[in-house]
Amino acid sequence: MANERGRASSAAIQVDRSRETAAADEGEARKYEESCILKCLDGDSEAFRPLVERYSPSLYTFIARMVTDREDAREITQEVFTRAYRNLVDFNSRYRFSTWLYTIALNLCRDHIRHDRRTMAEKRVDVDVGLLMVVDPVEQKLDVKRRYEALLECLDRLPQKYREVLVMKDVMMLPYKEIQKAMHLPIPLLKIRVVRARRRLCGMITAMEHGEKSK
Amino acid sequence: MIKHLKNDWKLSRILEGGDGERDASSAPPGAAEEAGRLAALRDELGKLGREKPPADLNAAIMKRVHDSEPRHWIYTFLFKPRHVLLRTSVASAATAAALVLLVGGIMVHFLVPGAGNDLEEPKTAPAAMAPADSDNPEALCPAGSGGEPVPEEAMRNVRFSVNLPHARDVRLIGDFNAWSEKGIVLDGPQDDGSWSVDIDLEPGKYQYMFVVDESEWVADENADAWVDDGYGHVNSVRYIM
Repeated sequence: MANERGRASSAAIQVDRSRETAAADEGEARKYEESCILKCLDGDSEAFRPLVERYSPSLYTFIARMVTDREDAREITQEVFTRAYRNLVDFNSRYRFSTWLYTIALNLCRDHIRHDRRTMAEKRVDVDVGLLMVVDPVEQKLDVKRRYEALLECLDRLPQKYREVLVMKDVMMLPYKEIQKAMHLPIPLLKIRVVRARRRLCGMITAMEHGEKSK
Repeated sequence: MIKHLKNDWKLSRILEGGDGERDASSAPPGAAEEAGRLAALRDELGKLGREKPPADLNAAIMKRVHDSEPRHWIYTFLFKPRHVLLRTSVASAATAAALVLLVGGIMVHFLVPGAGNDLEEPKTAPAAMAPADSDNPEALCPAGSGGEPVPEEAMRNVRFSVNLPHARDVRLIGDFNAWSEKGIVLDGPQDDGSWSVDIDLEPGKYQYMFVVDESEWVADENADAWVDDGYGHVNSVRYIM
């Protein structure tokens, strides 16, 4: 009993230390971001490059999951950063810079989806198997590539409001606080929407698997 | 609808408390199966991995940022908030001192009585003499002194005084008595050492002197003006209105 308590307390201490380290790293990162932003406001556009290099991969992934077409995702990503740079003076440093980027990206994606009449499935990005992480084969009914193609296809077909929250929460793994600031929705509503989005996606995948089985 | 809302809310709390993770097995029996499926789907989506961006994406972004710079520069130049730094320097200190002197000078000129008043006659300098018509005897004499009766209402009662506490005899001699050496005797000395006399004069300009102890000629320091008599003396001048 005493040993168990000792192990539990040491584990708790390790968690606390890792959290402190993470918080310290996050604080340092935010300070660096703020210094870059201040330099940009003083006219040094090159100071924007570290922010671009840090956030462009995740932002491109988010936009690609939203609009699916590779060229459109590239164009929208460029537009997001350009607009962020032009409106840096309006950025409130109380919030994360990434949250601000996701807000701009979300709005541009919505505008793009509203104006683009082509179906998402026609423009879906090909899945790069090399990027896929290892999946437990016990729980997969299809081979890896087919499984993920089905996943992406069903994700594309989700209603926009479900796709947005699912991509931000489960694909980008953003915390609810950041999603709330980007989408301006209360967290309880976001959680319910995530559950319903997962349920809908699950049903679509199941229906697709049953359709594959019946062929 | 509310029932579905409640069920979904319970399910969301099962799947994640805040942003933390909970074990799906902690769900009520009815919801455990669904909670498990949804948790598995969540994990699958998390393993989708990053979409590989184009190799030149960052370069294209920075090119756009640089291309938008002139307008951005103009916008920030006009509208960005600025920090104002005040530096103490010799030039700044000199400018501040000049401003203080200018403001102080203006205040002194308008607020201090008598300062910078160029309209008054300087009374301390006997050399500041008002030109008098000493060559014209008639001008020295009051009008009507040639025997013509003068109306009483035209006369002015004028006091002449001088402070000579140690004098024994003080007399007034001037235009009004034709510079007779007998002159007009002043009363005094008073307690404060002054000598004075009141005489009736018509309006005009009069030169005069005080004669002290029948030997010394003294000018009136309270006169309206002073004038050189051509003989090395300075006559006092009074203007009667």
